[in-house]
Amino acid sequence: MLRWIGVAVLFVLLCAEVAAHGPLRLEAPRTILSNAARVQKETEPYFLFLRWVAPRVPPGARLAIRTPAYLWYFVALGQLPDQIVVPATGERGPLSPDAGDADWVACYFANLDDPRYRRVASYVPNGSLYQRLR
Amino acid sequence: MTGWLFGSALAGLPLVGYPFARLRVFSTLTPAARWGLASGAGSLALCVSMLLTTALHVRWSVWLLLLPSAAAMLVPGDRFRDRPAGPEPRPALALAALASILGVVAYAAGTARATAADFVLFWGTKGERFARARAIDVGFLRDPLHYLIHPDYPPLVPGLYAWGTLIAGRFAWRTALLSFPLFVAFAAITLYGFARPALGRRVALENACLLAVLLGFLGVANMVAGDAEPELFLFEVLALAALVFAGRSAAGLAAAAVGLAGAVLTKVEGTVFAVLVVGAYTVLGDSASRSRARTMAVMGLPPAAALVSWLLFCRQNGLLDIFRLGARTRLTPGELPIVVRELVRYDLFGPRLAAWAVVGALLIARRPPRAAVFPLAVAAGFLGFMVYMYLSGKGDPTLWIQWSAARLSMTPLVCCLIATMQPAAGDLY
Repeated sequence: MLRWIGVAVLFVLLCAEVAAHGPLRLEAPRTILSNAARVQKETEPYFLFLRWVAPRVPPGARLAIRTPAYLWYFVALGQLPDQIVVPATGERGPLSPDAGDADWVACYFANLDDPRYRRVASYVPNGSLYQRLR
Repeated sequence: MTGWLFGSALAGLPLVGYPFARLRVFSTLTPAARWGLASGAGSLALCVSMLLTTALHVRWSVWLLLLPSAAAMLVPGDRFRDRPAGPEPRPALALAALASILGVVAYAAGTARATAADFVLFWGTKGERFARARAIDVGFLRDPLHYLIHPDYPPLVPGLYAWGTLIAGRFAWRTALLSFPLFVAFAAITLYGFARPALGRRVALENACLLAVLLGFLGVANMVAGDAEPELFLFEVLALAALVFAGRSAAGLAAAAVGLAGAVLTKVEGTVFAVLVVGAYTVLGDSASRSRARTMAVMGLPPAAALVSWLLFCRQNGLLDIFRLGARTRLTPGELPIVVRELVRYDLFGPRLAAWAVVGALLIARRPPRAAVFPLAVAAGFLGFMVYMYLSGKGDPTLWIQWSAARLSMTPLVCCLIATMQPAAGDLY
């Protein structure tokens, strides 16, 4: 009997935990972070930005990612498997040498002021994509 | 379609491990125990194949990775046969409860309510990269830019993700989250299979429900979907259930060895768990006619071989990091009050208190026999390791405890839960 009480208590807590993470719907969430913990959920707009970047940069191209948070480079690595993703330090100014000769630069809550690149697309609220001038 | 293929690759792991579980040494186990063992053995066999082929500079293919399973099919074995001691009623309520629990956990994972931060940053990315390189991507791991990924972290989970990617053609991020309910189901089947001869079908299934809801609830609360925890729990449950319910038999010891080797290749703390289990079982376990040294060798050699192989690979490729233990500083006993306070705060308070309360109440009510000392000793040892780890890390341990303690303490909870399931009068193997 005690076992069943334990199962019941934990099952109720499990359901409560599930319900606490957002409205109960039978549709797939927008991203794998849509109903995650608050900290992870804050990354979701960046996820959507990467989803916007993916079809605009050709496979195999070298793409520098400029964001205020270094850890987000790892998110880009996973979400953009077709491109060669490299991190770019700084939040404004020219592309730093550590990014190498990137063909493309994706900026998220960051800017690029570099005469070697031209902006080819903008993303609302605060993203942009640059391509190197030939 | 990609998602379905990826999911099928993971759900099909018991088929990859079937050739090993059908070996005659396991013929005394129930079919459910053998399927549970097969899920662990399949995961382990793929990981070992991946490690070996990478070391030999041979690129992965699906068929190549299945070679060990194919080879095992050539060894004489037998079919999984059920040999119940007598007629037993079908426990419909427990089956419905188990299905409901797994359904809710699958819903939670599938709707991204339990997504682990490390899955997005590291585990998934590693799996994807390994599949693209068709190898354990040493260049990627060695790159100083990827230092935060921990180059020498055990490879089993990225390997399984790479396996799914090789079959599906692309990494399926959403589907990979479902590895959480899948491995909880594998763990529940494993526990049921090993416990059934000793406890009977009904009680074994009730215990499987309890395990599933405990792992499901804490897994959602601690956000482990996509992380390596679910796989680690399978291996831990496999090792503990095999020893607690079938430790007197060769089958039980061999199954435990598979669980321990899998734990070692899944997470760093899996090695700690393996050391504790081998040590505690050798001293406290019921090894009947076997000598303690032989028991220790049968159980300890496979995980030791797995660890040494991985460390040699890392050393050869310049990947050693965590295992070099260089980040450890000297023990700072002065921080013990802070560590204990934070552990209690983040591990005991809040909803997790209910999990400890349920397990504690069961322990008190069931008054486990002497044999329960073994899993309890492993739990105590693991808690001790956690305290040591936080006392010997760099800087203030508070943040580290906040980040990891609740997840880590799921292992001692599982040990304590299994201690409450001790059969009253020996096992039936």
